[in-house]
Amino acid sequence: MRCTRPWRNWRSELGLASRLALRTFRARPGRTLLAILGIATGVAIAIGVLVLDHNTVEGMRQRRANDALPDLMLRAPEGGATIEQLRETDGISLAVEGFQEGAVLAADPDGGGNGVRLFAFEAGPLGQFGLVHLEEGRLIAGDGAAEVLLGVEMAHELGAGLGSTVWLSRPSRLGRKVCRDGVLVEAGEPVLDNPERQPFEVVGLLARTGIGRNAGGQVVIVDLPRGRELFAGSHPRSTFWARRDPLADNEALDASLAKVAALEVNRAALVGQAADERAFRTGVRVAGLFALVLGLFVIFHTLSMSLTERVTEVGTLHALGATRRQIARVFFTEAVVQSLAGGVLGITLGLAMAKGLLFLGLTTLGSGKHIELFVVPWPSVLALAAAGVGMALCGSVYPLLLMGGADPGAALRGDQEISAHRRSRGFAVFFAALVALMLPALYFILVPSVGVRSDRMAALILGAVAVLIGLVLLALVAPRILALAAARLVQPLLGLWPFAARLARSGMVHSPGRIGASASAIALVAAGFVGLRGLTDSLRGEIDTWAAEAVQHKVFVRGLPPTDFAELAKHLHGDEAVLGVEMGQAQINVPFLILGLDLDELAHYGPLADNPELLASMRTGRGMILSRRLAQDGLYETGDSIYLETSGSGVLPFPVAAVSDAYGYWANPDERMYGIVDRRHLERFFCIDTQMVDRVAVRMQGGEDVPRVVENLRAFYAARSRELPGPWRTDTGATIHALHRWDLERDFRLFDVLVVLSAGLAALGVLNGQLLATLERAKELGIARALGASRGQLAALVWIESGVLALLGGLLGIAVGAALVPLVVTSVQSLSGLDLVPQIRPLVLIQGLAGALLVGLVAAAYPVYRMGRMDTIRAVRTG
Amino acid sequence: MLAKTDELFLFRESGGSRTAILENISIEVPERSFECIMGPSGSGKTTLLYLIAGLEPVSAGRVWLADEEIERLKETVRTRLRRTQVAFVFQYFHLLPNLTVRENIALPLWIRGQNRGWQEPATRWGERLGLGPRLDALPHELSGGERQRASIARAMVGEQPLILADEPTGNLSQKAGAEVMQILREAVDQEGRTVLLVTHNPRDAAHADRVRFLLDGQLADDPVLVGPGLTVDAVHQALAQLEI
Repeated sequence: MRCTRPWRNWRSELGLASRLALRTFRARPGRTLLAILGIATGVAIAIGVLVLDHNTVEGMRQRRANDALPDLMLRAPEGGATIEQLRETDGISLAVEGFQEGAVLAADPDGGGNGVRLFAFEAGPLGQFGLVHLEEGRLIAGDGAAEVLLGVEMAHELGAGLGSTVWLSRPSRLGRKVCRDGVLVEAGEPVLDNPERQPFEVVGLLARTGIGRNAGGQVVIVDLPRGRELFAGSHPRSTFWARRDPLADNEALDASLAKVAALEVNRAALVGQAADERAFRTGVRVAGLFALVLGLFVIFHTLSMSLTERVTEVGTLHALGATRRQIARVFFTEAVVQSLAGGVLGITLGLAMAKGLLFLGLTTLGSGKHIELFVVPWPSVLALAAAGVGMALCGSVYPLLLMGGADPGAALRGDQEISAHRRSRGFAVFFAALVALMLPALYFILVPSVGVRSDRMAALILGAVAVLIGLVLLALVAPRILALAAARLVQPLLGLWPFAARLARSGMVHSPGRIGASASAIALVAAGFVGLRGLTDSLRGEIDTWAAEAVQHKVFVRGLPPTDFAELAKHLHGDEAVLGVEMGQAQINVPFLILGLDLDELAHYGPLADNPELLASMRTGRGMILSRRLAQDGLYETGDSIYLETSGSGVLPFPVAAVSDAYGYWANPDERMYGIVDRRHLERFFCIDTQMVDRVAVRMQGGEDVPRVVENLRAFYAARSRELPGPWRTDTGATIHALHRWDLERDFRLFDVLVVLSAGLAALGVLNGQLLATLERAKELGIARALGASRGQLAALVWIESGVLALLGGLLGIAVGAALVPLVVTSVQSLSGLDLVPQIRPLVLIQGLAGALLVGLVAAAYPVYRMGRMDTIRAVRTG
Repeated sequence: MLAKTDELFLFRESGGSRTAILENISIEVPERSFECIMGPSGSGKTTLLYLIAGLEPVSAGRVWLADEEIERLKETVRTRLRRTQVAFVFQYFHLLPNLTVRENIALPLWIRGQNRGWQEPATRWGERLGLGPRLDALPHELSGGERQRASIARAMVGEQPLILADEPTGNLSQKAGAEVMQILREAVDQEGRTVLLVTHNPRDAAHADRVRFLLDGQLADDPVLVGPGLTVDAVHQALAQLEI
């Protein structure tokens, strides 16, 4: 019996709670729906952003899928960095040494052999990379054992299986070609011998994924010491493979590694991790988080406001013998049901939102990317929904606490003045504390894969937290000031609507908490809008600055027939307006895009024209000019060395000679992180043809004159009895500049969607506040009706209150937003490496204010409608 | 003795000064009696009811309810005691707006944890008080008299021995008020309940077995009207004697 009583008590108390909660929902469907929508919208935006980002990154990664390679591949110069040093480098979680060479695989010691790709790596660390995917068997033991992993199809061809012995040898002739002084030659003396075959036991079969997909599956893996034995005397080139620490600052790591070794980065592993991508994704996620906080603000506000009219209910229950615990359970049950319903609806809407945005080509890596993939990262989605629901429940805790301390006698007497005052103060403190604690934690739920937790990121988050808390605290410490300011704003309307304006003024003066909370909600959105627009304008300014240096006064021509560059350049220089001609296709892509340009052509403009010493050093040495974004992103400075693995001369340093955007940008590929070297280096060290071109950029003096360039080109080809063929195309710097600006606008459409949704949320918050205030004032309004006020006059009261709230919130928001712009811009600048200058246009401030007014007036529509249906006279009659 | 107070005081702090709301109140409420306390608005009548029910703490003195000194009880125990011993009838009815009349009547049963079988007593008491056709209506659909009858049905359904009635006719017509007082009288005479009524209406007071007068927080020693058979005139005379 003793065991069953607590259960019975619990069940019966739950019966009371669920009955009362159910009746409340049934009696107030509109208000319940609004509260649920508040939670759902906040959760939906956050989940939508999360799922959108997940699918964006995964979709892009699948497109670039390359799981056959590690994150980083390095080759150190002679006497350079060792594998031990690499392992001790900050930001490297795993490193392995090895080499790849062609080898011969045979089923028996004397039979014919097949050419295979041999990977000889330290077996222990290699296994930890996750690149070795086994179909059957096990990994190599790693103690120098003569064991081999074999591609599964090759094993079938050889008739080999687990436990079989196969025979490996190096090829009898190492036929590798290398580039020496611009000429491809055989590497070293051809070795014509009969290398010894060595037996290896097959311990595992490789799947056609990971390393196993290299060389069409014709792959074998052996332990490094055994590989060296096989290739004894031929000095295979050692390679280091490395895995990034997920928390590493990628750009700083790459920059530091590139200073000590030739570095190749697996771009597929870095989708969404480039600095600008990261900044964009972070922005989107912060916007999602912002919406979640706003949603919670709405539900807090609603719960807190709804307490007022239910104080008497609490007193009655208390008088009838309900314990505080029972009463708390009633309200908690309501909060649980609302929060859970909001959470479930939020998940549904969030997934629909992500799907819809993907369908429209709006992704977290910009717009116009159509991704077919749609998978739901359920653990993160559920964690986020749980966090949202949890916070909403926390939101119900404060009203419960307040209720616990309520004086039932005062409640029954209808003495609510004190509790309302306490409620608004306590609400603001409680919410501020919760946001301060939960926001950073939520951020990391929402942003699990950004990978950088640098001081800059922490500063951004703390800054965002500070601004949000600041706004909420304003509602705490200065509700009276806000209410008085609102009353002041009503002053000019007294002449126009004497009754409604006076009543609105008195209502606002006596409800500072409600005014503060509603104005804060609108201010949050207005601040977000202005901050976001400020960021977009700053990015636009950055594009303008870049375009002025990189593309202005240039005419880009592509689709030319293979043409001798020297002849073409000479012809074009016959026009005095032509300052220089840049070739487009002489390029390599390791470790980043490197373009070979003709220094004689560059000598007439940009830094090489301004600085003869620079030009001289570029001519005599292996100097490299880095684009500004690459230099900022990779933390390179003039004088640093960047190591490139040449085709035949080993790993060589290329010192950074200057940083400039004046040369080398091409719309295809649209890459602003690149380096420029003298084209002769590409010929000499990489055997890349720099004589023939099919595209050129013509730098002109005094503007971009496309007809003039086309005329010159026609004359050039006509002189050689060749028609200027199609398809060819010219672009001006102005066109490219406009395209970049258009891209920016398009990419930020996602932010527009989020701002609109957040504005909807704020409207919901104001609507809730106004609706509850209207219901709360039913008696007052009834008296007004009894005294002859028309419904129109009462509606004007709500319109005026909402309008003034919106104006106040809007003014506050644009002021905070304007203060926020430098913070946001500085954070994005440090995250992305972009050269940004904070910009705030007056038009944006006007738009922010107009948007706030719109939100306020839209939010007033429903309370006005409800008031029209309310029997206010009855409220007077019944007390 | 069902309820009793001994040298009860209640003070409130306001604007840095202390005001006495109730001073030296000693009363006894015997079982199966109809007690009435009369006084003008602001005299502390309602507050005295809340102190007896344990809804507010006293500043000094003692309160007994069903032989328990409630100031010594923990909040939860006090609430449970109120749940079993006290029923309320309020001036403003305080029906929960989202519950039907039947559900409002059943509320004390729900609070006690009665999940089944609550419909029958709720319906019975509703019908007994003339609310049969209105049992599924919401409170805002009722007249004032009907609401107060629903409120009394709620007070009756839990079978608590003590009914505390706070100006139960204050918002009713004379006819409806008379009906309500008749019901409370029957609760004492037929159901064996005890009613402690606070009012400033002489007609209501005339239904009581004993009437005492509260003036500025102090209980007058004289007159104390004792029934049965009290008349409205007698109450008026007492009020005149006290210059109320």
